Amino acid sequence: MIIIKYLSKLLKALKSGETPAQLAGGFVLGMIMGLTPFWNLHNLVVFIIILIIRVNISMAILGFAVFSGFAYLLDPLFHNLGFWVLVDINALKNLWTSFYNTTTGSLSNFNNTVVMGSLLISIVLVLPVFFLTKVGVVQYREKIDSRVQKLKVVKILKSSKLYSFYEKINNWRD
Amino acid sequence: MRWKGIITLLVLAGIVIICGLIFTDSWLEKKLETAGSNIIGARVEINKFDISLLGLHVKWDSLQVTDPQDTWKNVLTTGKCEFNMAFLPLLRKKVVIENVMTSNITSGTARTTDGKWEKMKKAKKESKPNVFSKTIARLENEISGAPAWNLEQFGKKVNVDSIIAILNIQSVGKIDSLKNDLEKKYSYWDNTFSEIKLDEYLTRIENQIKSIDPAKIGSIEELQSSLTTVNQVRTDIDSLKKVVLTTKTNVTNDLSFASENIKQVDNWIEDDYKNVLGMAKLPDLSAGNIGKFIFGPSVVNRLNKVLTITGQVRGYASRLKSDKPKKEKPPRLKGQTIHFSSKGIYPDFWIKNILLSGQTLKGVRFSGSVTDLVSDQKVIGHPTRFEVLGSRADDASINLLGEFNYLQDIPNEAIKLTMGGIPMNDVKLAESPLAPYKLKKGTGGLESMLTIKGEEIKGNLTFVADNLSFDMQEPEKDNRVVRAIQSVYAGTNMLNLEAKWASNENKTDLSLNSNLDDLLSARFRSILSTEVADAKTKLQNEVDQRVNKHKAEILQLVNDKNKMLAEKVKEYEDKLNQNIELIENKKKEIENKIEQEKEKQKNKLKDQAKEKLKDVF
Repeated sequence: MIIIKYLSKLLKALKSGETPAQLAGGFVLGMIMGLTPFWNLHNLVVFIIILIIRVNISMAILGFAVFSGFAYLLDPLFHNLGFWVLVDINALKNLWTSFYNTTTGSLSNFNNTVVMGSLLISIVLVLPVFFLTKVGVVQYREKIDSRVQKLKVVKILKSSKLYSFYEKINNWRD
Repeated sequence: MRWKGIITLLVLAGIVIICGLIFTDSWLEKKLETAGSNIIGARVEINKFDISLLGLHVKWDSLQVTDPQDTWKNVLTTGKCEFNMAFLPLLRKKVVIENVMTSNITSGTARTTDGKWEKMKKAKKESKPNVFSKTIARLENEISGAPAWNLEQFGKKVNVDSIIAILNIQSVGKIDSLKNDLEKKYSYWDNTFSEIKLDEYLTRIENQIKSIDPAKIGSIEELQSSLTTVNQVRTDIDSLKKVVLTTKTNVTNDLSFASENIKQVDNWIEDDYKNVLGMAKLPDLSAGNIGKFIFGPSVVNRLNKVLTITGQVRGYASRLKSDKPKKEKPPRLKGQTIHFSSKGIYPDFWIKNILLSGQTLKGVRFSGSVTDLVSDQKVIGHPTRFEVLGSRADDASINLLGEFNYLQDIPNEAIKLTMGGIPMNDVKLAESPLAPYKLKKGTGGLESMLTIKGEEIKGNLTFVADNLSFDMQEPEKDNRVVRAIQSVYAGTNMLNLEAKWASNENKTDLSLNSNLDDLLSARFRSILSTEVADAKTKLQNEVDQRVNKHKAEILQLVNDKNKMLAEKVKEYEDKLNQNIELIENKKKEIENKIEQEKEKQKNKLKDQAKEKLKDVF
């Protein structure tokens, strides 16, 4: 049931009045939360940003779900990259030591190899994923949406009482 | 801006804070209990844990730590404990506590429930052996390797005949097998020498050279032809020399093999002696061995406990240092935490002062302190020290002092324990058949020191007790050894035990001496030594009798054959050298003759020329 709700919401979002940038922004922020270990200070910041600024939450959830899977697969890469950055690059040692001794640094868990590695990869991916998603949304609206709307599954979904109820209560956020 | 989102966020934050205030205590209590239980391997229980998030004040009513060896007993129990955490360092995830006060500490109390704990299964890290683990293993080996004293066994007369009846001498088979191997090698050389017929060949060459007589040859052409023949023979004999030298090397190798292997025979026989004496279970009557057997397990057990804890403390201290960490293989999505040095005034963890007090089950009231319990001593510039002083109305006292110093590159630990006026009533000295069941009365004192500097462990223990009365439990079977032990304890009222240990990366020495060792050793010698010596001689004679014939045969074989082969090779070598000398002489003889003939012809030509010139002028 939750999945149906979520899918209908996602489809609505893709063809709604929200700008492609808002959708891509949500997706990218969800990606950061998905790629990096969840219970960390930076994710709290990302979570607050998602709630406060006008990015699409459904896309954030999609980004989170997709990239959580990648995170599991890429864990060894994150660990190796994080270890290299934290331990092997001597030039950065003083920077990390100083940051470790600050309040933000000690709470951020940056000195965990997977947190560091995954966060660096997320940062590198922010711009490419943002622009690719933006292009993807535009393309979807122009070429794919009309075909998706004709699909039987979508018609059934939209005619259900649940969907109309969900649409009503969902309007409070707008 | 999404205002409804901000409101949601604030509501969520409010819920989190309220839940935190309601549930933090029980959640943290459970977390701490689980973490503690996992570390100890037995249940750790905290009663009425309370944390005030506003004042950062922590307290609990009592703490119970189960003894992992006996889960129906507590290894540690404390009463009320409270402390404040400093706020500013906590913001930097650094726990700094000024003063911790804990009272009513005791140990060994009975539990009402079983404190068994199923440890979380963690992938075991392969830890590199260090001086602590090596010393612990070596001490355990030394004690477990000491010959056991079976009083019932030693009380009986040694039945040598029954041992001889089941004797299995291994060396005979090994000697015969070696003899077969050597015979094969000798037979190979016998065949080789008879097949190559070197004697005949050398004699033929000798005759061939001798048959050339330059004095009987008149022309230079014939002399040149003889020289060519001699040179050809010389080339042949040089090739033969190479063959003889190679053969000599191979024979020498085989002779060394035989000589080396024959040395093993004595070792095999020695092993048979040991096996036979092992079967007879004859006791080692030296005083040092007796002392190690009686007191070794208790001393080593206690020492190893202290070494284990000290090793763990050093391990944690070095792990939290900022040296370059080793790459680990953490579980997925967990990562590896890298520790950096704590700059500034706060280490990651620091309890400045712990004040403790309590009472042992035997009524000794104690109090003490632990100062500067810290994750990185270099940040604060002080080592961790502890001191516990205790006393009882009957003058029994205890004093434990210690310092764990990791300020320099070489870690340094020192622990000193002094106990005085200890009543010895009902004290069990050691779990050994040579020790008394327990003590009836007396007082004792103990002094022990342990210092560990880098990889060097040193220490000693002195225990003196007097006015003793020993309680000898009625033996199940009365025999002369048991009676001897009883008479030794009946004749003494004091005990003096001295233990010393020293260990490093490569070796560990442990010595244990007590006045009982000499007394027991002398008494055992008086009743057992003649019997033990006779039994040893009889068993060794039996082994000798069975082995000697085989040993003599193989020695004879090796001596004869080695001598024969060496002589044969030498003979060939000598003959070869004689032939070479003969050839060289013959060669010189022919060359001289050629020179003479040439001179003769030259003079003849000169005379003819003079004659012809005379006719002209």
